[in-house]
Amino acid sequence: MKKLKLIVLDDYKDVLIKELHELGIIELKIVPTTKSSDTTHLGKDVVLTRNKVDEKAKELIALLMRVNTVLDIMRLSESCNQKRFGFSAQIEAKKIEDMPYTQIIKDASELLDLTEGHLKHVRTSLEDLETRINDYRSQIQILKKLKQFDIPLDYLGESRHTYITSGELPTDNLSELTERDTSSYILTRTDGATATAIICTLKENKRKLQSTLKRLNFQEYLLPKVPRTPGVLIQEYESEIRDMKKKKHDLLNEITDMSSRYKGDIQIIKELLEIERARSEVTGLFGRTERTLYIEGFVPEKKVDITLETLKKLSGYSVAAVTDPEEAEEDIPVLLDNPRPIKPFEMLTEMFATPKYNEFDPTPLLAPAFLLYFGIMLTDAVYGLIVSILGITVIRTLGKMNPSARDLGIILTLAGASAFIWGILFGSYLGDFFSPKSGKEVAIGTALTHITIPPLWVDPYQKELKYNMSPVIVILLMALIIGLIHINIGNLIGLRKSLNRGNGKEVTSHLWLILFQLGILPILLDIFGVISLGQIGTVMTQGFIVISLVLLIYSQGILGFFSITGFMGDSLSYARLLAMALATGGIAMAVNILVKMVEGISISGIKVGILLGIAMFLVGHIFNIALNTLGAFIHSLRLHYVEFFSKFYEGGGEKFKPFKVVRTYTILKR
Amino acid sequence: MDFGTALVAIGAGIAVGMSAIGSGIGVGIVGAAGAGAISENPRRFGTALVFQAMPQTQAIYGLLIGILLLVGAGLLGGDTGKTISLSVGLAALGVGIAVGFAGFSGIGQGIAASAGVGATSEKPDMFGKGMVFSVLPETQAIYGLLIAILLMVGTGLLGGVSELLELTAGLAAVGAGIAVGFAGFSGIGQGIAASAGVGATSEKTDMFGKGMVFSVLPETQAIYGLLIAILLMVGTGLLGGISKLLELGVGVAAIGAGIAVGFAGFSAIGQGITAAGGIGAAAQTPATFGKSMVLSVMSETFAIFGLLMAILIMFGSGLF
Repeated sequence: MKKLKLIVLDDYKDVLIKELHELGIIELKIVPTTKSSDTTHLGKDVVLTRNKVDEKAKELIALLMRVNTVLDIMRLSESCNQKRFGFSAQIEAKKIEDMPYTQIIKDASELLDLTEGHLKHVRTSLEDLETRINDYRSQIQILKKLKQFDIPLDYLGESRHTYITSGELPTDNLSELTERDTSSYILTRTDGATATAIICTLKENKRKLQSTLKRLNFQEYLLPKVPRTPGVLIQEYESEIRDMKKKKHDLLNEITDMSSRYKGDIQIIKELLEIERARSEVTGLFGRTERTLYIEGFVPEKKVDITLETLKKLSGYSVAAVTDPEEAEEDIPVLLDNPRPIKPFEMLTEMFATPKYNEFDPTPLLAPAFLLYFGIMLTDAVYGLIVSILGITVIRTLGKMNPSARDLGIILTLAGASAFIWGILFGSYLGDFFSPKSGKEVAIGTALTHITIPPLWVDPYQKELKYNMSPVIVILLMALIIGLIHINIGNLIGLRKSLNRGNGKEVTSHLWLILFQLGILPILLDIFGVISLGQIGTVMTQGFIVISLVLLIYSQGILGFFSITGFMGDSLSYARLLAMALATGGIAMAVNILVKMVEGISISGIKVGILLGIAMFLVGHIFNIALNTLGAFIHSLRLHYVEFFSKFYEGGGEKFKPFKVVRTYTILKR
Repeated sequence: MDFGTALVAIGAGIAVGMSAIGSGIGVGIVGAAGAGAISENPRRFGTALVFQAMPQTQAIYGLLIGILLLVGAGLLGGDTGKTISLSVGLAALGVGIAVGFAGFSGIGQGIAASAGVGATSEKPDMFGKGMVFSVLPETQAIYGLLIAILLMVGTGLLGGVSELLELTAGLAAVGAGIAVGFAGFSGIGQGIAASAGVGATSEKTDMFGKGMVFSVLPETQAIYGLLIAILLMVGTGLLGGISKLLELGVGVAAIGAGIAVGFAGFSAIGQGITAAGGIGAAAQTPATFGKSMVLSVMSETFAIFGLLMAILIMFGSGLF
């Protein structure tokens, strides 16, 4: 990363910003000014002040707000016919000429005049209708409760001699009501915990009744005083609601109509406004003198030449200088620079943490190991093929619009290829489809095609011994050895890092592990009878262990004990490679067994079994692919994040974010 | 039907029945979170379903093993009319316990996945990270599955020929099952920590790494269980093909070793709770990362006691 410093005459600042924005390879940083004020004295009476963002920004923000409102209203009509899972249709970018600022503002205002007023009006009407519909609905709820009493609503309230009220109260209080108030005529209907009641009493008793009701938690219904019974009123309201719904529908159609005419243009103008705003706001990072602007930023080393080329267009009005960055490491943005095959895997490293500037980038190590682990864990040639095809599909569809989707697609394609290879090695093609397991049984695939495919290396489920060991043990040992290698690579990287830093304790905290392994591994091999340590061997290994423990306590104190258990845990963790491989093969086997069992079923002579079997086959294997692909992916990641990275990786860097123009709806004609 | 075959049936029942508890409860927890998410935003239905699928795997493993057991013993298709010795039957019990009780990790997965649903409905790009956290408690179930399959391979239940097995080996298999199966409860601790990890990461993206490190701490207990299970199997010749001649008592002692490390695995629940707190502390004040780790690791001491006891039992009884 190099530091770029620019000075430009303020008349040409717009041209410069536009060039930098379209070039999109420089991260602009705020210009350092003294803490007490926004000014710095650069000697010879040259004063640098923080540049103020110009008025354009306010105008742009106001316009953008209005444009966003218009788009929001247009979206109201879209929620009915919506895209699933956010896969929007392919956006066709429109080629446009470079437009001056004033032109953009003019076009935006015009578009808004055509659409804004009308759409806002429609929206208000819609909201209005919605409120009224809800009002009617709640009234209907209440009316339904009174429906059975069939009393015209204008009876309610005060009349010449009587006072009638309707409402609801808790059922428990109902008996109290009838006891206390003997002078009223009460109609009730109980509905669980609440009871609806219509109470009629003489006008003189109104006060007394009201206070009784208040104590009993009576909630009065507010109803219109119309000469219609609840039943009739409900029907009236329902027809009103139908009418209003129809009106809503018509209004939404209006929106759809406007949307189809103007949405495309609005999206384009919005993008242009956003671009102008970004360009306007970025000026707040600059410093200014009387006639010039001072700009600072970071540019990747490889892009320095093209940057200077582009800036030649402004020679005479600007001056550029490229230097090595002077800041502390934390402030220098980080751009990972890996060769093309490794690049897609950067997203996996960065998901954990972006490396610090000048820290070791683990991505080149992560890529092959990830693929290896994925392959061992998914272990099926056919599944691997399907995953690869899936990966290629992702690259061709989502990947066109979204760079991280494209990276994921590439990772999947490669991972699937790895699983394909390991599937061949383990002889797993849809599980045991082509290789009979228990001596007498014929595998389904073999029965259909007369092909038996033996494993290229070893099948974990086979009976025959390999290298005089159970095949499961062979793979377990392979997994553990891979794990030990991986852990040690991580440890060595950590060791080199601590040597570079010259931190004695840190160095010992890496060294102890090496010595510990030199001691304990031969002892374990001796216990299991693989080798036999003579006298010298025993003394040496024990010596190694003792020294390693001393180093451990020196570097980490008593808590170092947890490093021993940590190491044990880390190495055993790689046993999951075997576990996942067995899991994939096992579930595939179970699916095949079920298919075989179901095959023979026939209901009243019709061989339903075959159809059932095919269905079960498809569902079962697709499920297995989904489950174990996800599992293999995540566990491969986890082995890196936890067992590998923890040995040396710190991260905490800031990712490089260039000042780059964002265009989805437009392409600039140059 | 001989007694051994009947024991296999019991083993199959344990495999399916116990794992159903873990998956059922776990899936239920996620479902509740999912319903909440959908009421905020109906489009989150798909996401909720995906997260809800995660704790289901435990029951699937249980079903898989159950079926394989039945097939292997001739109770379902396969080779009917096999004789299953008492020791193989006992081993089948071990198989069922291993995968069945490890299924309780589904509860932990449910806790983590429900946090994942919540985070994703707020911020859709938490989906990937939420999934990663939700998968962490699956490890326990995988270990259980692994031991179950290894036991079946070693005893011939999977592979066709019923080996002549010493009774000791059968008892040791039960011990191995208990070791890895009950240590599977550590998945609950992992789930608690992972759900805190999801929460912290959705607030602060760079908590992902630290959240992962904390969430993985409670897994250690499961690894200890796995280790003891493997050692028991190797020691009695269940893994390696050759049945060793050992006293019956050694097999019974093996059950003791399994109980020691298996039940000590519950300490991971405590570890998970501390780890969850540690994640919260580190999110707020990054400097507390190291000290919170120390606090989190304290609960592990008891698991180490269990591990130690198991190893001492194994050596003392003459397994090695």
